[in-house]
Amino acid sequence: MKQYMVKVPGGKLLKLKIDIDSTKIKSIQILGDFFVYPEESLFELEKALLGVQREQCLDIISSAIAQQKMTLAGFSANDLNNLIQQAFEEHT
Amino acid sequence: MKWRLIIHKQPHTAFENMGIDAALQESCTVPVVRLYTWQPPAVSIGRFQSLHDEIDEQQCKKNGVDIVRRITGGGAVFHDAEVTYSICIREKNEYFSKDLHESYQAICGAVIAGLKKFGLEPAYIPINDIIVNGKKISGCAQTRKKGIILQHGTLLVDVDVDKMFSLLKVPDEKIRDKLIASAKERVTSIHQQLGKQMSNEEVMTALVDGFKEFFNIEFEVSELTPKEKKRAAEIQKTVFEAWSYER
Repeated sequence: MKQYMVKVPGGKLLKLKIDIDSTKIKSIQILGDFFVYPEESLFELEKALLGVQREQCLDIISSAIAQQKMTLAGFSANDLNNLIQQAFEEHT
Repeated sequence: MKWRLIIHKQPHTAFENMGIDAALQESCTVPVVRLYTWQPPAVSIGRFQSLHDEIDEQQCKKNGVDIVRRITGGGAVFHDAEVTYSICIREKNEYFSKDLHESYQAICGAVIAGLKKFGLEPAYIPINDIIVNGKKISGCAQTRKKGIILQHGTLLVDVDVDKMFSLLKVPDEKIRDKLIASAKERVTSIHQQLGKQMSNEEVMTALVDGFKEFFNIEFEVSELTPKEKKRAAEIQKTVFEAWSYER
C-alpha cells in the first residue's frame, strides 16, 4: 500500500495507506494521532470508501460523518479528502 | 455529591491500567478520578495509529517495555516516570458542557490547578496538551461511550527523551538526533521545571488538590469493587492483550 501523510495545520498527523485499483479505492487505512468519536465510526468510514471513485470520496466522507454522527478532532473531512485526491493524482 | 477517588500507589502493568480505566468507564455513576503509575514501563499508542509504524518492537522487548493500544485516540506515549490520571464522568454533568473542546479544557484545568501547587505556571494548549514555560508536561486523550466520558492523561514527573526515542520509530534514521534535540526543546517534566525530584505521592496529592479546587468538590476515597476488578481483568484479556497489533 502507498502511504500519504499530512500534518494538519493546527491539527494532528493524518496518514493514509491506500491501494487504488484503476479508478477505485481497493484498500484504505486512515491512521494518525487524531481523535474520532465514536472511534468505531472511523473503521466504518474505511469500509464505506472501498470501491469508491475519486469524485465520490468527499460525498462518502461527508455522509458518513452525518449518518454516524462523527466528531473529528485534529483533521477535517476536507483534509482527508485532499489526501485521498493526492493518492488518485499520483496514481494516474 | 462526593466524587470517587482511587489512588493506586502500587504500579500496574499497561494492560491492567487500560483494563481498569475501561471498567471504570462502564461502571461510572458518580464521577471517579483514578491516579496510577506503570510497571514495567510501557509505550501506549493511540487507537488509530499503526503500531509497526510508530514503535520499535525489538527495542521495547530488549528494554522490558510493554506495548499497549489505548481505546483513546492520540499519539504514542512512553509511560515511565509519570503519574497518570483518569477521570470518568457523565457527558451531561454540572461542571462542563458536552462540547469536546470544553470538556478537555475543563479536565486539563484541574490538572493545571494541581501543577500550580508546585508554583508552576502551566497553560492549556488545545486539543490535549498542557505546557509549562512553552514545553509539554502533560498530554491526555478522551473517549466517550454510552454517555460516559473517559479521559486519561499523563503528568511527567521525570523524562528521558533519549530512551523515549530509542523505543519509537522515526521517519528517517538520519534525522533521529535532530528529532531528539527538538523533542528535548519541546518536552519537560516536574523535575526539570522545579530543579528537584518530587515523589509520585507528592504529585498525586497535588493532583487531588487540583481536582478538588477546580471543580469545587470533595472526594470519597475508594477502591475498585470486586465487580470492577473482575470486569477490568476481562477487558484486559479480551481487548488490551489482544488488539495492539491489529493496525
